[in-house]
Order: sequence, then C-alpha cells, then structure tokens
Amino acid sequence: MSARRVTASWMRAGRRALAGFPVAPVPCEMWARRRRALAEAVTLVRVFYLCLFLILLDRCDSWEHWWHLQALSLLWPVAWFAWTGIRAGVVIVVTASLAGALVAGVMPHVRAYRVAAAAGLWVFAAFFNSFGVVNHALHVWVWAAVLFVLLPDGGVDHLRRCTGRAQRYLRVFWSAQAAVLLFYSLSGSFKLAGAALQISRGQVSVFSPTALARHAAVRLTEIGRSGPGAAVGGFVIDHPYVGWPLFLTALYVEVFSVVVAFRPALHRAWGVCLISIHLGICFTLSILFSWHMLLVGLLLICSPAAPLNATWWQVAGSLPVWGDVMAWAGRIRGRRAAARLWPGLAA
Amino acid sequence: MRTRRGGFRERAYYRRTNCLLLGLLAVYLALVVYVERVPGKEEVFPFASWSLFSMVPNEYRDYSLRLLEMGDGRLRRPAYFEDAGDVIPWVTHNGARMAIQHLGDAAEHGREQEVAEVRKYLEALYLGGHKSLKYQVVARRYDPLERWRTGHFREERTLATFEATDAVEANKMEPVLLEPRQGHLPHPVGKREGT
Repeated sequence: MSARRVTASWMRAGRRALAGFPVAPVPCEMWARRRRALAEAVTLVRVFYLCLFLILLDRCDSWEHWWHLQALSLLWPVAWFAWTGIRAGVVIVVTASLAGALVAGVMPHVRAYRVAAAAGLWVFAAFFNSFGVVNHALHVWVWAAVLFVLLPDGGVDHLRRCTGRAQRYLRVFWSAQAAVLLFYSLSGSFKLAGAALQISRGQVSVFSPTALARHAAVRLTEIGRSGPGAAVGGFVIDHPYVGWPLFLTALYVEVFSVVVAFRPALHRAWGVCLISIHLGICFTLSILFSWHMLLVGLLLICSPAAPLNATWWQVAGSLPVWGDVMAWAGRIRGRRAAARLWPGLAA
Repeated sequence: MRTRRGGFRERAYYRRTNCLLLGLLAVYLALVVYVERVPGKEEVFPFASWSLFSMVPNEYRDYSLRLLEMGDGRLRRPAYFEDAGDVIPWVTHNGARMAIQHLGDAAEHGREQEVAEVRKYLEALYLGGHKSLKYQVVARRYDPLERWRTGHFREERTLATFEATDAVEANKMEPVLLEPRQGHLPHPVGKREGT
C-alpha cells in the first residue's frame, strides 16, 4: 500500500474516532442532508458579512474619539499610519472595513469581495488593538473572514451542480466552525498546562475551589468593583464553592470544544454552552464577549451540519469522554458478539 | 468528457483546499507554541494563543498609578488609577491597564526610552483631559482575596513620579506615532481580556 493511501486511511480512522464512530447514514438521506446544509451555509455566509458590517458600524460612537487621537501603539498591519497620519489612517481603515463588509454581504458569492472584507477587517482589527493592548474581540471574526475567502465562487444553484464544489464549500464552512472551536480548546489547554505548573509548585490551581473567586477578585478590584460582574462576582468571591462546579464545567467545555467540530449532533448544544460561559464571564468578571457570542450563535447554534431532530440521547451519546467511552465499549461488545457468531472473523 | 474533466478539476481544488487548511493549522499552532514558550512574549497579530486566565492568581504582583494631584482640584486625596473612576473615565479599560503594566515593567527595569514611549500614549489616550496630573508608578504585591476583603497590600513600592502633559497643550501637539510594537510585555499572573 502506498504511503499516501496509508496516510489517508489513518486520517479517516482518526476522523472517525474524533467523531465518536458514527453510524453512516443511508446514501439518499446523506445527500438530502448535504443539500440542506449547503443552502443553509450559503445563507449563513451572507448573514456573517451583514453581521460584520453591523459590528463595525456599531463602533460609530468611537469615531469622534479616534478622529482626535494623538498617539497610538501601532500593530504591524497598520504601521503605515506613520506615513498617512492617524486621521487619514483612521478614515481609510474605517471606510475600507465598512465597504468591504457591505459589498461582501451583498455579493458573498464573489471571492474578490470576500477578500476585500477580510482585508478591511484585518486592518480594522489591527487598528482596534493599537491602543496599548491586544484584545481578542475581533480575532475570531478575522479568522472566519480569512477562511471564507477560500469558499468557491457561485450561488447555491451553481454550487449544487457539482458535488466536488459543494463539498469544498461545506469543508471551508466547517473549517471556520472548527477554527472557532479550536480557539476555545487552546484556551482550555493552556489552563490545564497552567494547572500542571501550579500544582507542581504547590500553588492554588484551576482545579481549586477558590480559582474562580481569585480571578474574580483580581478582575473586580482592577476595575474598581464596577460593571455587571460586581454583584454576582462579589457573591462568588464570598462563596467560592458556588462557582467551583461551574468553573470546572466551563473548563471541560473549553478543552473538548475542538472535538465537537467532528460531532454535528453537539453543535447546537455546545453553542449554547459557550454562550453560557460568556454570560458567566460577563456576570463574574465584567468582561463581555458579545462579538464572540454572535459568531458562536451563527456558526454553531445555526450550524448547517447539525441534525434537525437530534434526541437528548443522541446529544448525550456524542459528549466528549462520556460518548467516547460508550462508543468504544459498543465497538468492543460488537467485536465480541461478531467473534462469537463468526469465529473466523476474530482470527 | 467535459463533465469528467470538470470533476477532476474540482477534486484537485478540493484536495488543494484541504492541504491549505492543514498548512494554515500547522503554521498557527507553530506560532502559538513559539510565542508561548517565552512567558510574556507578545503575540503575533492575529495569531492569538488564547492563553487567557491560564494561571490562577495566588500572590499577585502588578503595577498601578497612584494619582497624587490634579490641576483642576477634583482629586481630593491620592487614589489608585482603578479607584479613580469618578475623575478618569478610562479606569475600566483593559488597554489602560495593560499600558500601566507596560510602563511599570519598563520603569522597574530602568528602560528609560520605553518609559517615555509608553507615557506618550498612556497619557494621551487614558489620562487626557486633566491639567497638571501628578502621578506615581507603584509596584504592588497582594493576595487577591485578602485585598478584596480588607483592601490590604503586602507590599507597595513607588518606582517613579511623573507629571502628565497639559491636556490642552497635548491636543495642539503634532500626532505622536510610535514604532510598531514588538518584543516583550510584562506578564501578570493571568492575562486579562476585555472588549
């Protein structure tokens, strides 16, 4: 067997393991599901650009402040402000990002417009993060926009005519979903790495009951005990055992997010969980990730790959760890049963 | 025949797209590992490592500004930057906090040029609008829960005392443009995030 085939076979096996060994649907059902998913994905891409336009427009109350800026700590994509000056730079960035998002919203099937939207958003995000700190509010949108550049051109009818093209469209859309989920997994993984380090030093770690209370105490004192988190955050600090199970659940959701990309039955439930985590962060740490929540809603809660009628049992059976244990147990049981029926198969 | 050729082409595009996505993933993860192997190294925009709240604050060390005097007399007694919300509107802004951490780290390690650069944008962006603001850069050490309950700091060290440029004069100045950021930022126990 050639190396290429071996690699492909291993990748297929890995994908199946990540997906929790799903039962393959019958072909007609699979094609119907794919047709529906394609139509939904095309609509969602358009909605993505229109939401992006509104997000950028929503900053209009800052335009006057930006107009009067005297100094910036420039990130490299907007280093050219040094030649144009801040005012001209701000005008260029704001105009280009708004125009790019709008034209891509009107004609998302044209790659040139999607490139314009991604480039506009990229420089806008760089400018937005040139105030002395890199926030991550727009990063997920930037990456989703960059990935959507790879979508094949054409409307839904044009895409449907060719299976390969439709498959490519869905794969690129899935990559945007997977990227967002990967970012959450990275965040969770670094928390686990931090926990390992702190446990080895004998410090309070992320698994400690006071972990959330300590984060909240630092954050709320940093901002003068203000914001929406002041009340609930204060309660969590005074009663750390209330926040402990929630924090551990959030850690589980974050760590295994990337696995969920391979399990469509979980897309909607995970989207709700991630938004709930953001609400929890808002009400304990006074940090609102509203743009993340919007994108999670678009890509996961509205996921075109999610089954229309997923039962609770299906969702529970797809859960990372629990679902995997069940799937592996089922496979082992199935093999034993098969070996009893056809002893030659085991050999 | 034409359809078959189109099908082959689409399959090639599909494979190429998959390779591109895998390549992008590899580059992203490599950059994340490269940035995170040195604590405090600033990320390469837009390749965020998403290492947020990774370490639980035990004994916390940070920097803040102790505001001493304001020309307009609105500051009645010295206060830390985060507790001066009634006179400075930017106290909750994450950018202000990170700029202060940057300033404190540069001041503590005697990096004069960096101090001057950070002061330029810190004073223009986050301390603007106040005449003759006198402030100190303070290094602090505290237990978060203890500070929350009692307001007690285990250590407070004054690193430098500065006077912010007159805001009216600052508005008449030529725009100050700084070099694109690179290198290291001070690394508090947990990175903070805010929109």
